[in-house]
Amino acid sequence: MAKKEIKKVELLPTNKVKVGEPIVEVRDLEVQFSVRNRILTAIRRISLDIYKGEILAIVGESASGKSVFTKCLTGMLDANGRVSGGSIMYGGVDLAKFTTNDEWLAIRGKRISTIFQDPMTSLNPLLRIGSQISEVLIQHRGMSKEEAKKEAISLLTKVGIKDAEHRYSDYPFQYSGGMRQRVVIAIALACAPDILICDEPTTALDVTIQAQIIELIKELKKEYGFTVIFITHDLGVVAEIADRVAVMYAGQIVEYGTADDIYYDAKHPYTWSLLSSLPQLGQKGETLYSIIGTPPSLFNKIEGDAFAPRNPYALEIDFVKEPPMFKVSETHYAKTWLLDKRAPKVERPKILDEISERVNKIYGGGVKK
Amino acid sequence: MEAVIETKPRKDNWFFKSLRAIRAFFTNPTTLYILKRIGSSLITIVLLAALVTALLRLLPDEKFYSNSLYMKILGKAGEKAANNYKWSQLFEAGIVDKNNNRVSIFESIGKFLYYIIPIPKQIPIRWSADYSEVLKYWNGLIYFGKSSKFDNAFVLDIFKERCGISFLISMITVVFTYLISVPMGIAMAKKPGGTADKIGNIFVVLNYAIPAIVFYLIMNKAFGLINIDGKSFFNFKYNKSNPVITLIPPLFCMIFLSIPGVVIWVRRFMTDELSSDYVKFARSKGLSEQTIFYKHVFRNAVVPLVRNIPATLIFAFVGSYYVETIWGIPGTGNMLITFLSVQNPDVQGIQSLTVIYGAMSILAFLLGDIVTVFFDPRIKLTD
Repeated sequence: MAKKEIKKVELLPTNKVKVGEPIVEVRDLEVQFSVRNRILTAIRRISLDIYKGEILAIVGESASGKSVFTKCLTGMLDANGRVSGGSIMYGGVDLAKFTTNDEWLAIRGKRISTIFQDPMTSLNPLLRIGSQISEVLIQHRGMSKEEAKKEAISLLTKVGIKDAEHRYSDYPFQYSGGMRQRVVIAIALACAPDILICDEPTTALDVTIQAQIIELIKELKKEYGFTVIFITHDLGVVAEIADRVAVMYAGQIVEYGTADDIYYDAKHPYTWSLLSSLPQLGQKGETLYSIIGTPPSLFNKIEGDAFAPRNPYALEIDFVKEPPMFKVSETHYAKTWLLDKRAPKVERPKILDEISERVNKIYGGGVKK
Repeated sequence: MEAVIETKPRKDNWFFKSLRAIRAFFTNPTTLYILKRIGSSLITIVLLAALVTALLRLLPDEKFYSNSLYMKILGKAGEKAANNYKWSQLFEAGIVDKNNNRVSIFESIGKFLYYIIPIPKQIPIRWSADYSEVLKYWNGLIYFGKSSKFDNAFVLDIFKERCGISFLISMITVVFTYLISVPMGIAMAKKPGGTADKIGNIFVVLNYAIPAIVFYLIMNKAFGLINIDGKSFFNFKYNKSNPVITLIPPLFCMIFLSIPGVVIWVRRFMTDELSSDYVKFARSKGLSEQTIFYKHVFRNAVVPLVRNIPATLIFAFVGSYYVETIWGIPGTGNMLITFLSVQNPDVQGIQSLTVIYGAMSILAFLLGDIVTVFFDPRIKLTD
């Protein structure tokens, strides 16, 4: 048997990329899963640039493809999924072309790290906290055991674990949920990655701990200068943290722009619905807005605009032809026929006019300028 | 403010040191837990002893003497001799006392419990065929009775004499079962649905599908000592002077039949761990599959496996009666079969062996729990 040739991945260093320039360029990305002999298209031709040093929030309801999209960046798709088209350019390499695990080892943890939703289960319950951090340092940075221990302790201190020297040899069950998420962040940061993917990192935590963790991510971002992709369906969190927001629906990005663009000048009816259904916007006595219907099944081929059947503003063409990305401004794009010149004038829901004061009332700082 | 308490200087000679050590040992929550578990185990054993005694007493009297022999004696020597035979047999089974009065079930239970509760006692033993005469006393703590089989020897003596070889067989069985099953389960778990998994599954299913007794019949035919039709292909027999060769067929049987039970659990524990979140996170950390598999997954799957090892050993020990019968190995498995004979079961033998096996099983599970503590830091043996 011939020896298996391990393809060496030649990644270009990304430190020459200036802040604000694209570090990842996704073009026409398509991801398919085969589920019981049927093909499910989870991501339908997404194109997006991710800029260095920004915090990009990806929002959308469950099963809109947020997590699948970020999993493509680290090759963490489940065994039955594959990238079936498009490209992901990073460091001069097309990540969409990767096939083996060995290739991904150059990316995962080293260049792109991920924080998962549930800190209670992210750590191995039977291994000491310390060894779970230092194994990354030993693997990626070639440290010796002693060096790794030293570095791990300083990392733990950095993410706010008190008395790190002693807690280094504790087990995960001796940590609270918030502390575990801090440890997870420390592990993710161990190799000073370019990109940190946060896959709903605060969903499983209570509100006070949520705020602490978000604060920590912001602080560390300032210090290390990495790029953050923040997946959430909590628009309140988005307002607090994001520079840019991408709204996903049925495997596509339907609108993206700066946080201000999305909060004050949203163009897509889905974004309107999403914002209208913010619980923070609810008034006592009024019924809280909710989007009627359910997302379409991605097993079927989708004709026209995927949101059309649930869209009160839907035009006839929405059921026939898929809208292109319309440019609203340099930073703001939306995928709706309403932006076409020929479309009738449509007013966005009144409730959204009050969004800034209501969000302000709740978050104090509100949407950052 | 720090409290200032004048303490007497600690006396540091060997006596106080050991006294403190003993105190620390007995106030340790783990020790307390284990003592408590042992206490509840003893209660379980008492209940078990009572239950088995009661059940044995529910058997009809005719079970304990041969009716044809009774009729024969009746015809030849008259009613008195025949009844004498009958009463003596029933006395042996503990159903009547020496004045031929029936003993109640509770009296039987009480008597047996008195026998097995470890207090110093003297028990009168008839040594001759003449049942009116007491020739000897048995002195000791736990009395397991005298068997009517095996030349009227003490049950405990028979057990002591025979448990060595049975223990050896079950020990070797467990070691080899795990040596084979663990790598096999790992290979199967590595790629669920892959070739290794498919072959392994076929083996497990076939092994389970063939009833053990059929398998033993086949093995008996090929390698056994005595056959149904009196023939054997190789005619193996256990030989004390040449144990290595002569133990191969029985050991093969035992190991072969106990592999699937371990394999499916290894595979299951491994796949359970493989699908857990921390494995996903480990992968996203950029660890190689090899590291993830052995450092994370296997390490965690070992915990429930280790816990079962003592129990597996005891099950092999208790369940070795087939091989011992087929290859004529003088082990403990044979004892139970002999005691349980349909005609004339040995009451004291069954009672005692049940208690011994029960105690061993309880001990095995306790041992399993204690061993787990060393492998899983989350588990503390406290209430």
